[in-house]
Amino acid sequence: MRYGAKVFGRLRGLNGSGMTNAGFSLVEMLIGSVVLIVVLAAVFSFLDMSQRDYAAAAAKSDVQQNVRVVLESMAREMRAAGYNPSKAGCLSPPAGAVTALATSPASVTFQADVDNNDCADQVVYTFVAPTDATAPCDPGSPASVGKITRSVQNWDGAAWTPATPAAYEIAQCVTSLGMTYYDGSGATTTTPASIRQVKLSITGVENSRGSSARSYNLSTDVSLRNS
Amino acid sequence: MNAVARMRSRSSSGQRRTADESGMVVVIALLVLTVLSLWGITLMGLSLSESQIGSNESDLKRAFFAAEAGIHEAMYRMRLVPATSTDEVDTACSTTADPLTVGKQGTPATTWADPNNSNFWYYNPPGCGAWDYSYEGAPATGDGNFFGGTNKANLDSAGRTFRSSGAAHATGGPLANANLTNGAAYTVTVAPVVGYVGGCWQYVDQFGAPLPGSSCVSVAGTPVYKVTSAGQAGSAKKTLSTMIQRMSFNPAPDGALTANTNVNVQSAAAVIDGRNHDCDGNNPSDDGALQYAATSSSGPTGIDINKPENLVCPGGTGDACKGTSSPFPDSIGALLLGYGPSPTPQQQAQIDAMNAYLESIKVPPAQAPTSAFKGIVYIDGNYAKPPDGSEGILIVHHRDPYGQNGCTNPGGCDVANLGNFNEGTFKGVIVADKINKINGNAQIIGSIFGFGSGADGVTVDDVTGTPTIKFSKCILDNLENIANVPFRVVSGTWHEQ
Repeated sequence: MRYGAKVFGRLRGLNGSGMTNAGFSLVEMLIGSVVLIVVLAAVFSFLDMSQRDYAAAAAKSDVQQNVRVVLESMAREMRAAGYNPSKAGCLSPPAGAVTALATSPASVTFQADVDNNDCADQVVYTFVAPTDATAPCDPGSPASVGKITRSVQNWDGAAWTPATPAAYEIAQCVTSLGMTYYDGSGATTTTPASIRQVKLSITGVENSRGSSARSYNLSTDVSLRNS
Repeated sequence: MNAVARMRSRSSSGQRRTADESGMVVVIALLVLTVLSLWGITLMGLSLSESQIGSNESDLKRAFFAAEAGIHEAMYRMRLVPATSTDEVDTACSTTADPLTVGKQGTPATTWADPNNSNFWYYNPPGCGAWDYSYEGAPATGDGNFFGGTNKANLDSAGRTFRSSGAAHATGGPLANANLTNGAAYTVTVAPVVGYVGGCWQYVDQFGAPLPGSSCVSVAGTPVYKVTSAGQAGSAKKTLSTMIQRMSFNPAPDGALTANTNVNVQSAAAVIDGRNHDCDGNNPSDDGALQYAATSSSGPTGIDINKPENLVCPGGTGDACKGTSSPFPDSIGALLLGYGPSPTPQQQAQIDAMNAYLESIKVPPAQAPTSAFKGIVYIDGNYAKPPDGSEGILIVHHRDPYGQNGCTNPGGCDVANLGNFNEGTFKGVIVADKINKINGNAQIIGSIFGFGSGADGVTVDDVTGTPTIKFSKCILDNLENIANVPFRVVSGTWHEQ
C-alpha cells in the first residue's frame, strides 16, 4: 500500500500535478521487474504449453486421419477384389481376385473395377519403408519418410498396361503395413487364390515431430466379397 | 452527499489508488482470459471436426452393414417356401403389396410369400411412375440391366419388377433386423439379369452370355438376379449390389439305394424298388428313369441280398437290379447338386456355395428334429430316424480328419450313422455316411445315398417288418419345392456403387 502510494504519487507528479519529481529507487525497480518477470513467465509458460498441446493434438489427429483414410480406401477396394463387371466391349483379364503377394516390401496385387468404367483393373498397393528408419519422419528429408503407394493398370487384351505403372503416394509417415491373409477356414495362407479374408494393419507416425513423434496403429479385417 | 461529491472525496483518499491497482489486475485477467478462450475455441473446433469425422464414419459403416443386411434378407425371403398365387394376372399399380413373384421369362413360375409379413414386397407393372422398368428400343447385343444400358429387367412376362416395401420395414418385419435397432434402414430391389442376345431378351450370366438352356423362346436353368440394396444411416448412404443365383438340387442317384460301400440286405421282407413311383410312392412305372434298384461302388458283388426277388427294377428283379455306383463326389454339396468328382470351376463355385450353406444349417445330434420336418436337415453326427411324415433332404454326416478318433484314411473318415430307422415314412433324399440300419416298417420314398466309403456300409435288416425303399423321380423333381432352396452369391459381382 505504501509503495503503491509512492508510485502513483510519482506518476501523478509526472503528469504535472507538481506533488513530487523523484525517480524510482533501485529496490522499487528490482521488485517491479521481479513481479513482471514472474507474471510474464507464468503467462508464457502457459502460452507455450497451449501451443505445444495444440500442435500435439493437431499432429495426433493428422496421423489418425491419415491412417484411417488409407486403411478405409484399401479396405474398400480390397473388399471388392475380384469384381469383374465385364461390360460389353471390355477386354476381360483372366479371372482373379488377389493375384500376387509380396512380403518384402509388403505389397498386394488384386483385380477390381476401381475406376468405375465397368472393366476390371489391376491395383497394386506397396509399402515403401524409409531408407533411414531411425530418423523421425520429416517430409523435408525423404530418407526418413515411409509411405504406401498405389498404382493402377488396365488390361489391353494380352497384358496389364502400362507395364510399369506410375505409383503415387497415398500416405506418408507410415512405419508399417501389415497384411495377413486367411483362407476360407480361417487359417493363414500365402496362396493368392485361396485368400478369403485379409487383416490390414497400418502404423503411422506423427509428421515432423522429431523425437516426440508418437505412432498410431489401426487395423481392420476385410472379407473379400468376390472370392 | 451526492455521487460526484462521493467520488471526489474518494479520489482524494487512498481508496483511489487501490482502484488503480485493481485496474491492472482486470487488464491482466482479461488478457489471460482472452488467450485461454482463443485456445479453448481452437481446441473445441479441432475436436468438433474430429467428432464430426468420427460420426460420419460411423454412419457410413452402419449404412454399409445395413445394405449388406438387405441383400441377405432378400436372399432369405426369396428362399422361403413357395406359395401359390394368382397375382400374375394383376397388372394394376400396386399400392399395397403382393408376394414376390420370381418367374422365368415368359413363364412366370413361382411365388414366394412371406409367411410373416405379407406387405413386404411390392410390384410395379409398366407405367407405375418411378418404379417403371421397361425395355426401350433395340439395345446393343449384350446390353441389359447389369451392363449400364437403359434397358431394365422385369421379373416376369407382365413386365413387373419388385422392391421391398419401406413401410413394411418401418413397422417391423419378422426378422430382428427388419427394423434395425441402430436407426439404420435399407431398401432392396431385385431384378433378373437379362441381356439382348440373338435378337431377343434372355436371361444371361454376369458376363452377358445366355444361361444354359436359355433361348429366345423359353428360358431354362436358374435365372441370375441382381439385388441392389441401399443402406442409410443418418445422412450417410451406401448402395451395394450383387448378383445371386438360385441353387438347384439335382442329385443323380444310380439306384433307389446308391452306396459308396457294400450293401447288406438281411431281411427277407425288405423291398428295394428302383422303378419310378409317384410322389406318394404309388403306381410304379418301368419308364427307365433308373436302371438299378441298388448300386454299390464295388459293383454287383458288393450287394448281398438274401431274397433277390425283393430287389425290383425296370429290368426285372434280382441280380439284374444290382449295379455299380458312379464315382462319389467328395462333398455333400457336390452330391446334392449332382456333380461328379471332377467339377468344372463354375460347378466348383456352386459346390462351395452349397457346402457353405449346408455348413451354416448344420446342427449337433442333440438338436436334431424330434417331430416331423419339411426342408433340409443336416445332422453332424448319429441320428436314429426322421420322424414319421418328414419331407425334404436329410443329411447325416460327420467327417473325422485323418488321425482323429483312429481315422487312418488320408482324406478323413465319414462316420455318422443313420439308424435304427425302424418306423415311419420319409419323402425326399437321405444322405448318410453309414446306415445301420433300416428295418421294421420304415419307408423311404425318393432316394437314399450311403455316402461313407468305410467298411460298415449299408444294412437293411429285419425279421418282422417290411423296410421299403422306393425310388420316385417326382420327389426328386420337387425337391426345390419341398426344401427351401438357398441362393448363392455369384462370385465377381459384389460391389459398392
